[in-house]
Amino acid sequence: MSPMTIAYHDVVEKLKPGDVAIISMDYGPASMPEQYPATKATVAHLAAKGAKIVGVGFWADGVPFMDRAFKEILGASKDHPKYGIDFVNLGWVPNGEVGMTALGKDVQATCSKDYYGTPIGALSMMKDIKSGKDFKLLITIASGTPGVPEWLRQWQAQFGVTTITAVTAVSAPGVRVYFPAQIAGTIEGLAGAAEYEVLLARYGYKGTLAPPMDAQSLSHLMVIIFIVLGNVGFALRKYGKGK
Amino acid sequence: MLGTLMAAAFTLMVYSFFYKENKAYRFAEHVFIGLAVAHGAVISSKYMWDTALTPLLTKGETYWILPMLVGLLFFFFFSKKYFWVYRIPISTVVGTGVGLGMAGLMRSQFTDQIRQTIALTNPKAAWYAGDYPINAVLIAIGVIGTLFFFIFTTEQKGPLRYASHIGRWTMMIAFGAAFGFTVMARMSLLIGRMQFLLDYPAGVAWYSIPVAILILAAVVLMERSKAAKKA
Repeated sequence: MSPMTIAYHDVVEKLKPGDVAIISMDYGPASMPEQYPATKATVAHLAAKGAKIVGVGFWADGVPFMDRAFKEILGASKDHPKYGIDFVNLGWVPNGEVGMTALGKDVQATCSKDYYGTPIGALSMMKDIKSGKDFKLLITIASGTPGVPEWLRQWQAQFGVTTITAVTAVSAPGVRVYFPAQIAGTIEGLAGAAEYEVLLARYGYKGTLAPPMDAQSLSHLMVIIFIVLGNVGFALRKYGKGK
Repeated sequence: MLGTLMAAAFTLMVYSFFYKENKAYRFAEHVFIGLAVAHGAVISSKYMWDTALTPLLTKGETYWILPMLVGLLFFFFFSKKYFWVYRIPISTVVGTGVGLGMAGLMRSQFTDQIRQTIALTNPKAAWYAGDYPINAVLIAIGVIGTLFFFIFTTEQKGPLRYASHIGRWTMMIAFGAAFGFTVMARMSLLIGRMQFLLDYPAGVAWYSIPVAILILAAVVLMERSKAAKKA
């Protein structure tokens, strides 16, 4: 179990009922196999802790994943009796980093309506959420730009909001430099998401990543064998000729 | 069901690239780009409608006219004569982005990073934290070595050469780790697609495997007939 995943889990675990968390969909369909399981598990964990969830997205084609995660974990999205009370989906915010700044300064003005067209004033939980200062936790499920550095610049540095992230394995080495001082926890790729699912088992969360992780481990083993074989072949060719 | 079958077909069309670039792959690629652009256009229009146009028309918030007019100036991109007008919105967007970015960047990606790098060691820190003694020493050696690697104004000999070598090794280890993670990510994506084709919903595999064979056969036949015509 990686310390980054444990830290991610612990940060969510420390939330108290009523704390407000913003979860941002900063990925597209191309990263879905890696990022969607982390999205679902995070929503399940936030719901189990009784946190109020504000869903948002800075990637236009990532926003539908928020709606889908709410439907799969909570049973419904806008038709849910607790929609607007315990969770909302604000939808897409344009302009990347500039949009993040605008959202942090004035949530109501930046998102006048939610993803489903409901005016933000009609959502009771949004009445007390005015700016970035009103959020206890920021979660970005990110796979590119805008993503982690933009959130750090515009939210973590400006408002001091505790930030955690789930990133694709490709982005993981670049994000690790921010851990643990600026990013309090990270889920790194499919492996990280699988670890997180294991940690959530005590909440009755049923993960889906055990079979893919078996396949991944086997494929890694195959890659290692090929690397060793390639190097042995190279060494034999190089030093065998000398003899 | 139809959506799933279409998704499976498009997945297989994209994977036909493993053989070589072909018309099925190009068709899938163009559809994907077209869909992404169309989705972006619709969702952008909806945002503008909700945020600017509705308040302008229903509440009389006339100040929304100004940003919308500036936005319309983007269309001067298509005019050779008045192309200079296009520079007004683009400079506004770039200027705002750079200005806002720089403000946060100085702290989150410059001073905070330096502070973490030169932080005093703390034996009580977690073993993975940057200020845990062994990590702090490794970070210090790696950072200083890498900085020395990029000194090009002096000939790299003597102690500078050794420091530069440490920097090169540090970077190679970092690139190796990044490449390893990249391989892992690609495997994850492949596994995700394979799971979709084989598991969801049950029965798609019976459809997808013959379709895969048909697409591959069609591609091979097309390529061969093209090569025979050329010959």
